[in-house]
Amino acid sequence: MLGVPALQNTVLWGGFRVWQRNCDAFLRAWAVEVGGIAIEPFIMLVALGYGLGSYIQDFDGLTYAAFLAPGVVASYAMWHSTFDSTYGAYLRMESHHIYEAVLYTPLGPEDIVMGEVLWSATRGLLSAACVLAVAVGFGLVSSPAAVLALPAAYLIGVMFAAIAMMLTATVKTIGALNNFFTLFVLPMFWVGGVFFPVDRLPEVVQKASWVLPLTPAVALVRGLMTGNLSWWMLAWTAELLAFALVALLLSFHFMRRRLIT
Amino acid sequence: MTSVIQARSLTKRYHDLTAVDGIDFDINGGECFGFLGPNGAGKTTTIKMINCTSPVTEGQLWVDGKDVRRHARAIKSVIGVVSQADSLDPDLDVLQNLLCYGRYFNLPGRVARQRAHEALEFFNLADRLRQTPDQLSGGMRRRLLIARVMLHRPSIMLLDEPTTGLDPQSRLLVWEKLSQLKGQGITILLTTHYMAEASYLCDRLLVMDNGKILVQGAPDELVQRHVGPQVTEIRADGEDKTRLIGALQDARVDVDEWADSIVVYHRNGLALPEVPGMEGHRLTTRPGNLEDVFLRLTGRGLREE
Repeated sequence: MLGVPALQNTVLWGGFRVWQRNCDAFLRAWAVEVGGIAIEPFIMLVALGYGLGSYIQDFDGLTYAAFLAPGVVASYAMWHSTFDSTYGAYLRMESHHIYEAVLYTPLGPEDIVMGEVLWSATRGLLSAACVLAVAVGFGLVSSPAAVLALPAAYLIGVMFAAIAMMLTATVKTIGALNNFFTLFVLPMFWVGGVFFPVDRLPEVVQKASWVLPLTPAVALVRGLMTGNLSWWMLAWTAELLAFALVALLLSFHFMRRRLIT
Repeated sequence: MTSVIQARSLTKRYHDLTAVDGIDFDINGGECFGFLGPNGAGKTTTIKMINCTSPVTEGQLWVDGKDVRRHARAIKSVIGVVSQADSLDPDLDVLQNLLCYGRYFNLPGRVARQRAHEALEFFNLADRLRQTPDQLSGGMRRRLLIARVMLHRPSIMLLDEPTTGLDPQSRLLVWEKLSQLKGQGITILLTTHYMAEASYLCDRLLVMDNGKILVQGAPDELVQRHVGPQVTEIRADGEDKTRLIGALQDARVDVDEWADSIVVYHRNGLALPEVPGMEGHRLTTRPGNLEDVFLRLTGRGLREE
């Protein structure tokens, strides 16, 4: 850190400081977090992949469990990052005055948003990594490219956390965050290609689905875990990056407007 | 003495509300300066402009020689802010609360740890390292809030109502510590509703109301100028009270009234004039104090032209 004052003034460095705070808090309470991060996606993979999957014929050369596993990896990166960047962030901001305390240091609203997003994505990554490990253990992963599902899951987490922060920075009550899940996260979860291929949907819904950020996220992770690599994966990555960047910049703006009055 | 905080025509407007209305003040290095005023006077808004969390609408404001509009990060790295809200981190223990704050200021871990222990020792919290904030009493929490902003060795401290809600013993301990910090050369700016606190701690202070500064000066000087060395309270009500006030005003002394009392200010060494009808009422004569200044200026009754 010596001789790099330039780095210390960047939003990434400020974000890292806020990330460290969240990491400290997580490590104190990790035992209560394990259920949601590791056990829940494990149960889902077993129940749907093997239970329901036993009624479903193989397609594209994959068992249902092998088809489902990448969807669970991507969607749990989404669930955990969005939960933390909505309810978690809102509580830290409004109930615990943690943002206020940070504002009285050299850091500003952009550093706070950056740190929260990086941390929420870390939680998403932890969950995705647990699912991936279970999937490898069950022999559901057929390509070494699956290791790239981890950075992909982190990008997915950053994107969804940044989208969630736009809302957290603008809502007046914590209850208003419910709509984000009912109207945005849950519909994507059902039609984003987690449980069945998107091309089975009516054409209109299919098109709409590809504009929503979960669909390219699932497709990217599925390509990596099954080894069905294609050039489309670069386009999907670009789409996720674009969503992430725009949402992050808007979150910076909304959070500054909320905190610096 | 050099001025470390300077405001010129400082103004803050929220839509159509003017919270701070063109104020000027200079706070000198090493002094303790108080902001007094009723709720809504503009004290907290002024503090927030100084700590760069509320943009200045108009006018100029320099902190540590830097313009708040352009050097927020640099200013925030030399000030320590204790706001009204209890912003201790409930998810971390006492020591972690301090270390986490040290990281925001980019202190190396070893330095932060050493200073954290020193600060906790100084604020009598050294035996609470591993407790969480919700296990501490109100007074301890307040001391921890102050200890937390000592870690980066600020040259200026801003404290918004640092002892509100504390029991008298805890308040005394906070006063003692703040006075020691002032002894170390730290400039302290505080807001308070406790006049005894302002008298004890502040070298100079100002009284605000409706976004404007009413007076500023040293506490004793303000008492002499606006109240006088002595104050007499006369218990009276009804017609008696009205008649006595008239008679006292005819005798050219300053009076205020509230409820069933008349307050007479002996400015310029004037004795209580002999007015008819005073006998039979309970009189209490006591030294004038800052509370009298405050109430005279911000109102509880007559404001003489």
